[in-house]
Amino acid sequence: MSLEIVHVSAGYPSQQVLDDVHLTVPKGQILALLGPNGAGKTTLLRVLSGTLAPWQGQVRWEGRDIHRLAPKARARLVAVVPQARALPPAFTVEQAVMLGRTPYLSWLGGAGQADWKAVQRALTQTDLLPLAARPLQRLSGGEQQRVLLARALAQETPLLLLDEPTTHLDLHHQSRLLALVRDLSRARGLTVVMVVHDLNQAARYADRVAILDHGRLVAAGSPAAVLTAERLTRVYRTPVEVLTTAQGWPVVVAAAE
Amino acid sequence: MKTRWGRAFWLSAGLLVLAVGLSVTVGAVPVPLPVLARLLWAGLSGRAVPANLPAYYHTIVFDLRLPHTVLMLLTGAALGSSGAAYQGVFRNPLADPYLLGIASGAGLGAVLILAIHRPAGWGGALALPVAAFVGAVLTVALVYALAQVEGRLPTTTLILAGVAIGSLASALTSFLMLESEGTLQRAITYLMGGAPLSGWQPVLAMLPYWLVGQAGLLLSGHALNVLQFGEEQAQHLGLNARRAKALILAAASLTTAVAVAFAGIIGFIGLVVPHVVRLLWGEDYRREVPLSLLGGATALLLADLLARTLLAPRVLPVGIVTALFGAPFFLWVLRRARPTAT
Repeated sequence: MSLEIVHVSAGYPSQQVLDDVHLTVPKGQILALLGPNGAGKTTLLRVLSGTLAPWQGQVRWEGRDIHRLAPKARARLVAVVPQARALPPAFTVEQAVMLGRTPYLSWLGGAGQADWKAVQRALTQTDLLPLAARPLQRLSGGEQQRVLLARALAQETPLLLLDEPTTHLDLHHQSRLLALVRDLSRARGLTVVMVVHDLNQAARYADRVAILDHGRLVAAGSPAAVLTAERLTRVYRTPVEVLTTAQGWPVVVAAAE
Repeated sequence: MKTRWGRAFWLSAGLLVLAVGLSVTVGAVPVPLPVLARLLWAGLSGRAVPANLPAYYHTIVFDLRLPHTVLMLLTGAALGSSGAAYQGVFRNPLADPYLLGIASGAGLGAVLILAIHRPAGWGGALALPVAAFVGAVLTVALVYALAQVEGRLPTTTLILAGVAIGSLASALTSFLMLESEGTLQRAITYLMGGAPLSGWQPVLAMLPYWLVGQAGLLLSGHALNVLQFGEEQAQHLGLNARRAKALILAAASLTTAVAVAFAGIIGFIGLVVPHVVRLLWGEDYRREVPLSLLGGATALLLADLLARTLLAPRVLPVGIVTALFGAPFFLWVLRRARPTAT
């Protein structure tokens, strides 16, 4: 049981972005997608979420091609945590998280016992219960990002995708969110694919990392194996050094040019 | 939470009943409430009109006031709920059937069919909203396509596209009116928000389309909620966003079209009412659509009351009254919306 990205090529009408990306994520693991700007990380995430159909190749979950599923069936399989931007200001936290139940609701959106339970659970796990009745416009950036995570958890999918979830957060909230994702992945057996900008956070919180460059997969594996000074210097076109912390995690720093 | 919504509904419904009462009783010949009550009781129970009442009361209430009141009620309800739906689909507090030019497009459709074949009898009355619907849908499609900038719908381009297309439709309508003979001119003055048609025929011709459109809108609340997070997130949540948008726009356009076809172009109800509903009761389209429906009916009945009484015995076009109150409100919303309207 795993997420298989099978020789995927994809892009937009005017431009190819991904070129033959082939990658497998074992169930229950966290994969961080790394690479310089424009490498195709977000495009790959859009292919995984079902929003963008690949030109060639497939995305399979437990052997099923997710692009052949109806939107509702797919939303029970894959949940996405986008960046918290331009959220509807007057929605309350609880309302927003309840929308995560959409794939289980009728067109009218009437929620049942199971739906309220899932929402309560998601709110509890993201520490949002005290804020349940607050409108989104009165939340901090970190809290808004947690609301979107809670909404994705309420979808109760085995697969969770995160698109640069820490971009607008300060250091404390970055670590807190990623630690939360890691703990949830362990607790719920979630398979997670996230686009992260910070190499050190990827090294710290991901089980596996994959590096994309110019739409191609450069390397994939454990952080310690993939994040080497030689490889990163080549991909990011900037000299870097890789140090190791006392706990054994690689730390990437820019070297003097 | 439930009781809060319950209160909102009962308050809105109560205000509407009050507005209906005022609309039927106030006029050149006032109908005292006891008289109205006895007339309605007699009418509903199928008994003869009490002999001690002057006969003209019956005519005034059943042939003049009541059909006019019901027409205004249906029209206001249509403008309120479709305004809420447009604001939801476009994710823009300034989207309104009038400002987006949709009402003018519907008006052009209606005038075209009048110019080709002046509707006589039921066939014509039932064809009118269909023509208006076609005009409304074409306008929405055009405005939507023109307003898009890199896949987004900025407020400025949306309103400008709406105003431009609306002006074009109005100009074509005016041209048709000038080119036509006097009979057509009289038949279409009501489209400019003038004196509406009278009698029960427009009400009954409107009703089937109105019911279909409103049913569509009332069923769209949850989808509209999901769409507030944008098309891509709506898809992540399992909604077929494009299809949902198309269906909701079709229902809103049908609802707008029937209002325009039988009551003319009346602005600002669809802008103001959903706004007030959101300010008072928060954002949840499952409630906002029905509350805007009730509120729109109440608002138009009150505006119509002013239009009939301000310069009595002259009757103002009700569109003038709604614009008088709506335009300053529009400017206020425009200023408020500016920081986030990119």
